[in-house]
Amino acid sequence: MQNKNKFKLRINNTLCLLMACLLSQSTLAETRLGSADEYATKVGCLFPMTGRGGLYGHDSLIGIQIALEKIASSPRYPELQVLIEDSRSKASRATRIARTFAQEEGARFLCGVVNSSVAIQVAQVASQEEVFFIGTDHASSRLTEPLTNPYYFRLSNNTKQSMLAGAKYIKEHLLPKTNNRPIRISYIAPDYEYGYSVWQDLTSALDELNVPYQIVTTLWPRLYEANYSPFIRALMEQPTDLIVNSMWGGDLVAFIQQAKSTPLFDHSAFANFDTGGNYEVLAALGDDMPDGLIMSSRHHTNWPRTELNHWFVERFKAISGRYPSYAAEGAYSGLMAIAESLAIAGTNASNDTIRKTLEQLVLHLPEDPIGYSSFMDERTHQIQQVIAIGTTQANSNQLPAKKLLGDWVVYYPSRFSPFKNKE
Amino acid sequence: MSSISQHKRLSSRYLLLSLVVALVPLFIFAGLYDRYFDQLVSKITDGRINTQVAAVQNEFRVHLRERLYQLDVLADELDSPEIFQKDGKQNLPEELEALLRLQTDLNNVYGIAFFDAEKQFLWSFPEYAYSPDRYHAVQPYKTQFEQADILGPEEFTFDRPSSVLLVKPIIGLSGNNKAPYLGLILRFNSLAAIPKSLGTDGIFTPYLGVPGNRIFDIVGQPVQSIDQYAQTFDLFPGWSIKLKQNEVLAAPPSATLRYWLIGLVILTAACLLLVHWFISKRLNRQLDTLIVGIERVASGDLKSPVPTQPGTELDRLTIAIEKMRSQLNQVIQSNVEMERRASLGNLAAGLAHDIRNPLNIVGITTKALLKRELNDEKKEMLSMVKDELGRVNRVIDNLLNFARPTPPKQEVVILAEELQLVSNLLNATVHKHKANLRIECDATLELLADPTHLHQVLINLVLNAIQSFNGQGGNVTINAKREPEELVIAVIDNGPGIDSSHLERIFEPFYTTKSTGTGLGLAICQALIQANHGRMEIHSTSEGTTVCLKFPIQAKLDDTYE
Repeated sequence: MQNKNKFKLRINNTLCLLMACLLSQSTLAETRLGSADEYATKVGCLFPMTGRGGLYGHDSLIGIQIALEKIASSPRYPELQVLIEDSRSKASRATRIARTFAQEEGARFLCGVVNSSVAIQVAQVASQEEVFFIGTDHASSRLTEPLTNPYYFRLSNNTKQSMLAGAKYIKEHLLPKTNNRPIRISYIAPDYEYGYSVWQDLTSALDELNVPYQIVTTLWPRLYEANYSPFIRALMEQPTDLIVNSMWGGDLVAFIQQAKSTPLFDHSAFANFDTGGNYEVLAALGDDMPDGLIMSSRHHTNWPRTELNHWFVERFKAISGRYPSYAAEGAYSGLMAIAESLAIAGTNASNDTIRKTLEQLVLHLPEDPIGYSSFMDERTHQIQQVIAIGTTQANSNQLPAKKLLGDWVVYYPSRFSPFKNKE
Repeated sequence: MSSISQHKRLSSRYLLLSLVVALVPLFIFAGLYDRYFDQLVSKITDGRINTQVAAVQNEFRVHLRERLYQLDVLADELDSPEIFQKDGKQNLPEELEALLRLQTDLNNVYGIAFFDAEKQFLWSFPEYAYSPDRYHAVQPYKTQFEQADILGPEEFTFDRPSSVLLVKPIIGLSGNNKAPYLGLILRFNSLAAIPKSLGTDGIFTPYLGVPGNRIFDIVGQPVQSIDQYAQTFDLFPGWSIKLKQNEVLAAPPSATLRYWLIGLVILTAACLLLVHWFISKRLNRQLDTLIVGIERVASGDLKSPVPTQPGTELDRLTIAIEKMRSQLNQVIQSNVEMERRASLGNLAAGLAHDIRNPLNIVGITTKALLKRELNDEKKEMLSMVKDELGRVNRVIDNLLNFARPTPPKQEVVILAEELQLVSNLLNATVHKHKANLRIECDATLELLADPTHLHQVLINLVLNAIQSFNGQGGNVTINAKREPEELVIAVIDNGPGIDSSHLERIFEPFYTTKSTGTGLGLAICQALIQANHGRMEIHSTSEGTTVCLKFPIQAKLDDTYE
């Protein structure tokens, strides 16, 4: 009975602090969520809160809030205090903040980071400071395959996984349309680590699946490019069967808006296998999103149709008044992974124990379909999740997005062979 | 034939004129357009491009100088010789690492490379940003920019974007006689994109020429052919801006536009020839029809009309020719008729003179013998002789009437009264033949005519109608009405009608279908009507016959019958 009262008190304290932090978040450079207890386990999170990537940070913050609610509602989870800082997608700033979190705040965990190039450098800091870095938004496979950093774990699909699913999709749905000729692929991606990683993973996956393909061109506009018209012209200059695009967020929105007024989408099929189906992109484009684009995302607001996903999406909407981008579910997953590992290993467990616990982690997350739970691959520290690829089609169920993904094709990972990732 | 060749000559001249009128302005327009376009392109390309290229050349220099400045800032901070060693990364203080991160946050810089005094590659930041192999691969592409070396860009691959290495010695490094080198690993696509402003107006496509005779477009793709580059502007050794004039504007005016103009000229000429052929064919067809008609008239066939061609160019001409044929036919027919009637008159006068006197004597003698004869049989025979003599006399009278009809004594007659008189005269005969005679006439109708002639003609026509009934009975109507220019008296019966073969000759004297007729009745009627300035027409079908007597409203009183 005493324990129960103590638990209730703890929930109240947590929620009060949560609300106070949320109300003041727009005025503080640093945001603190969760428990105010000085002995609470501290988690330092780095997200871009301004610029084109700002939405990812804000969605991640709400995702963390939902996770804290979930954690506070169960007595088995420890108290967590989450510190959030704006990384501005700059490696110099992110590594400095990461070091501050570890050295001055005593954070045992780092989480977040959207930009893969930044994440690589933050991971190095985490390793130096011997704190765990739980990646939630970046996807470059370079961090996990091969694994070089024992303190790094990723709670969202990486580019290797999404490109393997993309290569399977190409083999099953696009290659048959080319009349036994190699499929001609053009590739356009932001000029940084993530773009290179996606391309390398896609070509490796196509080779692994013995998909005959011919590369028409690869184009590398800089991140946050304003004018894509020379690139759109270059894509249309040569016959192509498939344009694979791996832009994300505002870049993808800007690219589609600029390409919409050209015949690019009639010139060739268009696919973005990693982030294109992100609700943020669908909402930003509204009616401008063409039909029939092949997209996927690390989390979908309308798939899977499970109780947990429905709860997560609706809770997010209740808090923010809008639907979540995948970043929210990534941050939620990251925080739940931290809470789960501490619940299993104990808050005072050694780093080795926590690492081993994380390596064996199994979590049921909003993006898991019925009968499936995400699990951590101990060799790569990469979470293994289902990837669903769909095509854009008219659907006004989740306004302001006028187009949502449908005609789903679902790819499951293998429990024992994540490198091969064969079903 | 001569008219056709005339026509051909005329239409050919018309065609030639049309071609001249249509094509000469077109050629003048094309020439002027050529010149205008040439001047316009020259003005745009030559005038503005030099300024724009100078601006881009400057932008290149500024961009690279900024990077050199960046290197200078780094060189000031990276002043420890330990950093310029193979394991220099481990000797890097935390604050310097932060500085390196800050410098590589820029989108234009992939990383920072460290070299020893012999320019051997040591290490890079970030670690994966560069490698000895990549450094080795760009050695052939080394050029000088101010105090720095520029190496690259790397060979194009699909795997990753190319980079350019900007390397500068670190002068005055403490404790070192030989200066090590520091390099910035630059994003080549940022350099390739600098000339993109030269292509925004669509006249030129800019490219970047780099060491190794390689050319890249503004999105960093290699370009194979260099033959068509019209202009090259040097940046620094081995590097240049190349401008390719767009094919649409390559040879002003564009070949496509020229072909369109030539096509337009050919099309115009073809259209004119087609129109000429069509009009010629149409005119020939119309002329052929006209010529056939005229030739038929020329060969003596005045009765066949020359067909009119309504709605065609020759419509008025064919109407005039047809009118001419009709009048000619009428004149000739009239002359023939007059000659025939004159001959017949002479013949009749001769016959009357030579036959009538003896006949009178025979008649008087027969009458005298008849009075004295007591034998009934002989009396009957003499009576028959007297009747036949009377009949011969009537024939001679008819003949004289036809040949020399009595001149009309025209007076204004009340037509209704005259028609009633005729009806009364014929009443008994009509009843005898079980026929009905009806008069339809407005009481106010008046006619200037000889009433005796009118009676004779109407009685003759009504009797003809009654006889056509062959005793079966029928209806005869005399209808008189006023039409705009004529007064028409129609004698209409519902008898069996007259065969069309007889209709053509029915007014000819001595032409009859009756066994006892003289064939002079209708001929006399026509002569009498004509003497009264009227005309006579017969229309007949199997359901009856209508004979129309038409008198002009304004009778020519001064005309005299000849």
